[in-house]
Amino acid sequence: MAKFPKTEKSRNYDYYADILWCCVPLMVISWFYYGPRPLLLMVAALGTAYLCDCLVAPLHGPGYRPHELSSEAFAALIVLLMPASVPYYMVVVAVVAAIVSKETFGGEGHYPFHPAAIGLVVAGLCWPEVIFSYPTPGTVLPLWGSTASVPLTAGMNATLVSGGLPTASTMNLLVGNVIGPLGAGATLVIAACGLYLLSRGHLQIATVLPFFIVCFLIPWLFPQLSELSEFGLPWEYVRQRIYLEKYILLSGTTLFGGVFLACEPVVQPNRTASRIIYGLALGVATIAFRYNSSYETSTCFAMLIVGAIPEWLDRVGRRAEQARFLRKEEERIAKRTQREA
Amino acid sequence: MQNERNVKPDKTGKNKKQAPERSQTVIIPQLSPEVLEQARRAAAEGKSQEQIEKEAVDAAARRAEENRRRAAGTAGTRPQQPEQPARPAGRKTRAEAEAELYQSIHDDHLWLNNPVMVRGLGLAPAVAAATDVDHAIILCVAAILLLTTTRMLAVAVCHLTGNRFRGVIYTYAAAILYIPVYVILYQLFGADLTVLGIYLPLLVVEPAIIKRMESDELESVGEAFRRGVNNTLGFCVALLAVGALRELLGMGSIYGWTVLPSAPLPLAGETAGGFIVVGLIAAVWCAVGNAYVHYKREEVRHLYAERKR
Repeated sequence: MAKFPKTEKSRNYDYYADILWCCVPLMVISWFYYGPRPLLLMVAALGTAYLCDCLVAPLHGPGYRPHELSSEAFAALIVLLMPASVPYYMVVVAVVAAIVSKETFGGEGHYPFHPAAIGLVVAGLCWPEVIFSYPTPGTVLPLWGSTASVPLTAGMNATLVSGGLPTASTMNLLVGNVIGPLGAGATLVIAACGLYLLSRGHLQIATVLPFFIVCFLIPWLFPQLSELSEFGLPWEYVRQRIYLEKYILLSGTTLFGGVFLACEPVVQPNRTASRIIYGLALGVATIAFRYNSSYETSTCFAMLIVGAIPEWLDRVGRRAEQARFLRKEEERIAKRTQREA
Repeated sequence: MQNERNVKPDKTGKNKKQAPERSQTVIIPQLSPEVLEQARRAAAEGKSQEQIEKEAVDAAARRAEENRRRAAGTAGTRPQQPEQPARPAGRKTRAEAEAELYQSIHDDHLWLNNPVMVRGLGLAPAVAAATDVDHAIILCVAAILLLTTTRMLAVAVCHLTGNRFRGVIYTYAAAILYIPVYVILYQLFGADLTVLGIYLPLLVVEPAIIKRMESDELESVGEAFRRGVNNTLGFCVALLAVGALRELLGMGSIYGWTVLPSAPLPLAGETAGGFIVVGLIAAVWCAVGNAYVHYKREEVRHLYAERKR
């Protein structure tokens, strides 16, 4: 019986495979709300990612690696962060931008910025009126034809930026029956995916917990609500603050970003202390973008800004550890010398 | 002899009769290309393996006999250096050919040593200002008027100052020449110049123009003119390529002519997209250029592989 050659999987193969598995229930939800168009968008994105990886990866040396799923995972994340009404060619452009940016820095395991965030930001800056406008859930979108006739509205973050509160109920927020990206609305499903990733060891508490704490604390301490005074004490207007927190955490891409983007194994730092600082910085940047832009996918912009510091954080941590070790060694040698004297 | 010398007496002082030592080194016969060719021809003629081997052994014996006779004939006489074959005129050595190749690569500012795409000079106008062909043309005219003249003026002044204060001389030369250049540009393009913003005056401190000041070597004015023209051509080609591609991606047209029904990448018209587009063009440019250089190097290597000098 002929033996199949053993193929080496990439180091993060399991992470990307689990991300792809987590996309399945989210795609089912989006299919339920928007019809089959999201599925075809996903197929187009995955096919583009595969083709682009085959073409671009050989340019920097090692060639295409069939057991490296990162490109497909990034493509899936890009689709989940886009509106269901997005034209196919925009998805293709976003995926190409993501894969090219990934391969530019040396391919899997080397990119400093999250490629999915890059892809979405490139598409968002190219066509902001299309990428950041969303159809109402329940609108079955045409599979092939133009979606120009579909009424589109801005996401809930546009209301939050103007100092108001959206009117979506908690149940709608939990099941994803709200206006927003096609995969970032169903909070319950995203939370379940988060638990799955946590159980698989892919979700790093050191990164995620500081991120969510900051995303909770800043709106609590500095609420952007027109009905509240700007410098109100934290224990005043508690009900309004809780409402605000609900929309901050459950709408937009805060939860989605924390679960699917923040813990990317290549982008996030390697040391625990660095991860805590990284999570805090990511939370601050996310809230800053949410406060100052009406874009729903603020986490992607924050990922690009904060993506500049993980390597530096690791280096600083390493130097501090070396300095501590040297100091301890000096103390130990000094004590031994004293004892011998 | 060597084996006898290496035989060590044992502790009893008796040299026992030992088995002859055998070398562990496997001698692999070195087959010259002539022998291989001869064998190939013999095989083609249908000779058997024994015949081929016999012929090869005979040929080797004849060659050894000839060498021995030649050595005996020259013994006792002063060994004469074999006469160097006169190198035919126009035939270069490998070192000369490689030096010529490297010099031609260095002088090729249009493609292989392009100031923007290969050396990374003049990136600011390419990224920020060359958003379409119109802007690229304005920048090209500015570069044509400014780049070579600045270099020639600065070199002429450097000859007077003994090649000192180069930085001041180059920047002052560019700044002084910018004034008449701006007047000419304004006559040519009018208010369109304002769309370039600060990037037009910034050409005065553009590395593509004043990078030369870092070199200690003082070139002649004629050489400065030649190199300045080369650099200008390369700069203009890069600017036009960037402007055309960015207009195509950002607006779907080239020089105002609609090519695509919609813009495939509107971000290319922005400065952020300019970085991406210039980076991609430079990557492709360098990849193709390096492949060509590699090909030429290999060509020289193969060409001179058979020659000893």
